[in-house]
Amino acid sequence: MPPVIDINKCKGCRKCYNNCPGDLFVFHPRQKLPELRYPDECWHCGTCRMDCPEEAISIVFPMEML
Amino acid sequence: MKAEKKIFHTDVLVVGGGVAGCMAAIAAHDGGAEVLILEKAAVVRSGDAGAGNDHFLANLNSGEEWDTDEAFARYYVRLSQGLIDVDIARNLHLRRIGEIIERLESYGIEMRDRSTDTFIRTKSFGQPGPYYINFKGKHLKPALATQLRKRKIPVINRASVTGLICDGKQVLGAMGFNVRTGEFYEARAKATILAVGDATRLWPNPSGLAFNTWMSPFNNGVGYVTAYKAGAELANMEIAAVTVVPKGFSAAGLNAFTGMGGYLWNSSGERYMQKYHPMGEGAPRNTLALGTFREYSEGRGPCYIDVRHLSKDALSHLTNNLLPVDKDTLVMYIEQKGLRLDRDLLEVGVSEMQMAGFTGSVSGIVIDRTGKSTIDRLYAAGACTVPSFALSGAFATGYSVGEETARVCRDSSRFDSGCEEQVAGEMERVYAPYNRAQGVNYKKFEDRLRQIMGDYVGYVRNERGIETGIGKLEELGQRVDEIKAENLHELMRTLEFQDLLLVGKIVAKSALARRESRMGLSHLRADYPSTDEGSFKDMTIVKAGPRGIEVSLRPTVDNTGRI
Repeated sequence: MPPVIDINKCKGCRKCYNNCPGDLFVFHPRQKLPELRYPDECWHCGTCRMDCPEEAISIVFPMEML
Repeated sequence: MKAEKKIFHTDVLVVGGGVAGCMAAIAAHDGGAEVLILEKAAVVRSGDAGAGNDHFLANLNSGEEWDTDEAFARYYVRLSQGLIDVDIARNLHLRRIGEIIERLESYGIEMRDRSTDTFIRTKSFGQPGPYYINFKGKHLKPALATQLRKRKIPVINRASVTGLICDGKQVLGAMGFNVRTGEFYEARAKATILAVGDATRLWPNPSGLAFNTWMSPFNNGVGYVTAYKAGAELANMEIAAVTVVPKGFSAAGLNAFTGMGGYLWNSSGERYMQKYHPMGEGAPRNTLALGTFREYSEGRGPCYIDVRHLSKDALSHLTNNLLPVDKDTLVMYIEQKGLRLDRDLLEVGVSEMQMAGFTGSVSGIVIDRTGKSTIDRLYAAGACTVPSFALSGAFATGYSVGEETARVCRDSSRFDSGCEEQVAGEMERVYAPYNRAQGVNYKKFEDRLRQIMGDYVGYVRNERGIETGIGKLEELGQRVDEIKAENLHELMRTLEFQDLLLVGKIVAKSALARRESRMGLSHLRADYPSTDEGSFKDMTIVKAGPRGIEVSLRPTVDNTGRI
């Protein structure tokens, strides 16, 4: 699962949802939380991590890549 | 679903808001044109350079012999083995490099080292001198997005273009849909610029993860496909890109490792690249890939990159300024592997194949000295064109072509109507996989496409194999109506797959026509293992004909002497 969101840090700003080049996140407006819906399609580009103002996202590489 | 349709009219329509598209839009706007960008992702982070880039290819005319325009043009020709018309590169790219660097600095992109106010330059990939400016390009896309905002250039993000409006003679605009809202777009323009990047996900990935690609996995060759369907020519589509990457992670960064003086070792402790090229690890990319492929296939793998011998300062530059900028997550990856570059070797392997607009790329949409394709009112810029030449090429060709389209629009007042049936037909085609009652997921088909390409049109090719592959691609094509998209995201991927399938067929047909081997693993024919400079100093040209994909050979023009 490449991007891992720390929901305790996330403030629901939608930056990851808005900026992901692969359209891999969905956003749940009621809970104000993003969800990584398509982990298999991740490029591991780091956009979500870089652009998260709360530093709530870390990239965890799947075992096939390590 | 019954989709809503939105119609736009503009002077210049830019399809794709990566580096080339943003620069084209800026130049067209500044030239007085009304501009619209349709972008599949979001301009702030889209394209091959979306998450950053650390190296900008440039000559600077510093007085050194290797730093002149002529020397740079000769390098350009040598790397592309003459399969491009360097005169086009000169007009759209080479002559504008200095001006583009100044422009980027005015956008707040730090091209120089702040403490010394000079360019840090490194050398790799067979360059006669240090042509790569190491720069702080982590946020270059946000900087370009700011420039679009400043100019109030309209951008529609999440707008996936699927086809061009074309009356058979000229292109009148483009069509597509919004991958989040499902709206259909009909955008009519005086000039249309394709700036949609390359095509990945077409061959098997060594990690087994299809989206773990070197260039962006979200680039699906829509530029090649839409241009081809409109009747435009493509060139050298059999020549794929292959590189050397960390084993398991198809990350950019090879130029940083080799540019800083890294060594490549095989399992016997031999610096194997010295066998393959006098410049060793400084060899051109395709030679590095071929050498590494040979080491593995002849049983001397695993292979490794080694930077332990670098000075503390050099290692710090590599790990702090280069690697995390070229690929934001590469340093994290190395850490998660449990490695330290000052202490350990990093295992490397040969990447997946892809169509990529990297330095020296010779495949893509044919354009002339103005950036126009072989169809009227259709232009192209960046990685989807020949020649393209990576990031620096995307910046410069994008800007040049944007300027040209603004100039053309000043003399034209036409917004053509017509082709309504074509638009209605595209609308039908686009939503069909979504409206279908049942079917299978696109992934099954895309996996099969990669399997066929890997088995028959892969690293090592021959006539019988390619013909078998073409047959299997045709069979796969007859079954595309079995795909069901459950939502708009899957619809986007399903349509991407359909484009990739056509790119695959084009690649295979072109590979059949080039009866020689060229550029290492880019096109290696086991039945024609030598490079044939006599008969094949030619471009393969692909065009849609009455019998489908037609391939011909066209001699290249040697314009080196004119520079």
